Amino acid sequence: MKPQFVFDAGPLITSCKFNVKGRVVIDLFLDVCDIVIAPSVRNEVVIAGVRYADAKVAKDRLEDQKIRVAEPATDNALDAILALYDFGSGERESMLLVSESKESQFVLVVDDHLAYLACDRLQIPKCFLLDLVVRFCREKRIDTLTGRDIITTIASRYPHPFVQHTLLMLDRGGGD
Amino acid sequence: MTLTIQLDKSIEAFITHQAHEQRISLETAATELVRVGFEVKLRELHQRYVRGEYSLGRLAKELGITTWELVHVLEEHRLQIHNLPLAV
Repeated sequence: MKPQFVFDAGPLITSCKFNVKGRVVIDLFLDVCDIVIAPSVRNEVVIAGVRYADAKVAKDRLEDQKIRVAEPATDNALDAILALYDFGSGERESMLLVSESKESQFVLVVDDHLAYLACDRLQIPKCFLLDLVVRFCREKRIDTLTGRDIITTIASRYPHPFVQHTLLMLDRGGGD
Repeated sequence: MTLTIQLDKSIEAFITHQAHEQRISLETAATELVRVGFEVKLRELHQRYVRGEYSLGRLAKELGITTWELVHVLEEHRLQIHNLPLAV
């Protein structure tokens, strides 16, 4: 069974924008994991898919059911906490989705500083997109060379130290 | 979008002056002022995002656009897309 990840809008946009070895990064991920998104993230993809090429990549994968949409259950207590941070609806629903499904091993992929910190405090499993690549290399789902290519390709979306740290992680046993 | 709005006297005077000085129409001068105003507001909100006070979704919400549109707007304005901390 493939591992399951809930992608917040940021990592989804990054994964749909960049190409490695002639393939969109999202497709490299879809080879080795299941990607789930929240309804609000899906709605944004549908709106933006008309206008932006990268959003169309996501829209096509939604239509082909390669990316799945899951509805989060109601959790008023958690929702009240998330409301304190005034997150966007996509972030809020993505966190609710992962929080309710701890047994199903959902992990939230999120690149936003505030959302990451809130997840940490709420013990919601989460990782940066960079760390997802490291994990896939460690688990030998993606070879280290491809992992490095992905990281260097998406590097413009991250602070330099984060990128260099990730490359070092890959060099020091991240993968092959 | 076409809007009809009532301007404050000082803004009206500024737009009239700009139009005269730059030899442009009042409409063009007003549009430029709105564009500059948006740019200032965008940078002000973006600063809050970069400082980690806002999430990407919150920034999009404040600007009345989707996160997908926001990322493209930030790219167009050459603004930092992530809000992760930078090492000094």
